[in-house]
Amino acid sequence: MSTSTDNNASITQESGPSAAVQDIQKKIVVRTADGEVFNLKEEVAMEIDIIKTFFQEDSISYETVMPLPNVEGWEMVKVIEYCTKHVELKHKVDGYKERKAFQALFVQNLSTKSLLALTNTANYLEVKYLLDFLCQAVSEQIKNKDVDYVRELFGVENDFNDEEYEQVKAEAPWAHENLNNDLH
Amino acid sequence: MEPDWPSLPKHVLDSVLEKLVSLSDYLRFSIVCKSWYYVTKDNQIQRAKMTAPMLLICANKRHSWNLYSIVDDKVFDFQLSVPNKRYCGSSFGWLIAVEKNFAITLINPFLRVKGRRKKENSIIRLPSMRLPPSNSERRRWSRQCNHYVFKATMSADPIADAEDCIVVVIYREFYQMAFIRLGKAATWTYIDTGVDRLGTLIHEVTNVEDKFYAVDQKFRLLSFGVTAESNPNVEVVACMTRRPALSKRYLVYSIEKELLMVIRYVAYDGGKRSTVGFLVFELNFDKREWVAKDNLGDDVALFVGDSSSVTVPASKSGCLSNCIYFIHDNDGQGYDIDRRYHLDFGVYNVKSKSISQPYTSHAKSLVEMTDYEPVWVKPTLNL
Repeated sequence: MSTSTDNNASITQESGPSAAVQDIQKKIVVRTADGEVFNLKEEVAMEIDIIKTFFQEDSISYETVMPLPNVEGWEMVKVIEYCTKHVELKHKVDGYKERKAFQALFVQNLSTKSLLALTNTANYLEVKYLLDFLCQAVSEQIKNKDVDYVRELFGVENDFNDEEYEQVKAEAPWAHENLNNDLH
Repeated sequence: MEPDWPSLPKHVLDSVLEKLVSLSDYLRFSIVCKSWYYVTKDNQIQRAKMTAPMLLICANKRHSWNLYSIVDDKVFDFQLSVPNKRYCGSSFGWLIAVEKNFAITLINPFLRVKGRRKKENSIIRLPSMRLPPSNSERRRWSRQCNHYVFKATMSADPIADAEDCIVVVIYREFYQMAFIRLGKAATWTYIDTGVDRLGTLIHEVTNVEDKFYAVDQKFRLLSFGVTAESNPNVEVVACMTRRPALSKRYLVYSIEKELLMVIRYVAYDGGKRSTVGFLVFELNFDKREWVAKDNLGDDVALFVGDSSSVTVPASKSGCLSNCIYFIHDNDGQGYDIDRRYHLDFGVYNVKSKSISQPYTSHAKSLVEMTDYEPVWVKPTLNL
């Protein structure tokens, strides 16, 4: 499959016996910040609201390559993976177990930093159910961890001054229980 | 810290925050940094609606109560400083107590952590109720002032929603009702009982929008509105044709916007009381009748005791769905019972009709040792 760097690249077509079937399925092309180009099946592309809205404009033809300057290539791969699975499971009657297994694998090897980046991306691309799932995954990382650990995990600094900090701590007596510090 | 560490926008942090079911996690979120603190502060009213009550258990030392979270399965390290006595109500995170001079006080235990400075607005004093008519009655009730009010409730948070806060009590030997508008009245308004003793032997009062509903000994549902008028009109809204046997009953406006009457069957073995089962009824407003239900709601958990009956969304609060969390409560006998008889507590599964006692052994021993009845309290988040 050839790719093009022009803004108005035409949709590429595969040759071969399956080409006739594939022609019927429209493809949407996007380009991420690092210059990678992705061909998405229309039904998957339409799961991503920001893409859906873009192509709903009358002046935009499906042959346009949509730029996504805020999205990295690896993030796009993950988003496509999740949306494709979501579309597949839509047609299944009892996909609960399969979804759970897929979700577990999906986040398995993601570092916290990558998880946060992907969450931001899901938010930017406006994929509600993916954002919801990723927020859940982020919350799992916070559960039962002490404050310093959470700060390190999320790369945030304690920007309270001493007096302010004592005050907010006093408002939350639950927050200083003894915890297991799960350092992976 | 790496400069390019991704930071989450506010509404995304809000979504993450919502998924922290445990209150400890939720509050720890608030002290991470300033922006996270403000996200939590903005979220707290929403959160309060989804938070399950915790069990306040007297530690028997002066002004020392432990807090047990049944959802997190733990007793917290800190203690709360409130008077050691029987409380006649617990609503929106405030305990309701009767003093020796028949004044009513509201106490927020969460603003009174032992070892820290008590916040000034943790106690709200209301005017005294009218005294019993004779001196001898006055003396008797003064000794048992904690039982002068059988059960009390409020319509709104007395600080966050002071404008809408009305306190309603069920008092004295005929279990009649009286109310006061917070900050707007100097005296209590007593609801006259009329023909057929309507308005006596009330089990519980609950607030639904601008009206109050009460269930009485005969399973009648009564309603009255609180207006500036001195004597509100009490109406019968519904009756039961076939009445269940003698039982305790609770009234709650559930999170699914249904008015539920929950009946609790108890058995006595000597002085020891134990709960046998529950029945749930929903009010059909149009037909003005109680309809039996075999579940509380899709995702609902109910908490009953001397506190105002409350429902919470089960999954968001970490509770078991379609379950009733019950503790020992007053039988209306008018005096403190021996600590050995505080033990009627557990969780009832409405679907399977079974009772379990999922308390940790630490919590269980605290309940067994306590001199005063434990109370459900909804944690107030005071950010």
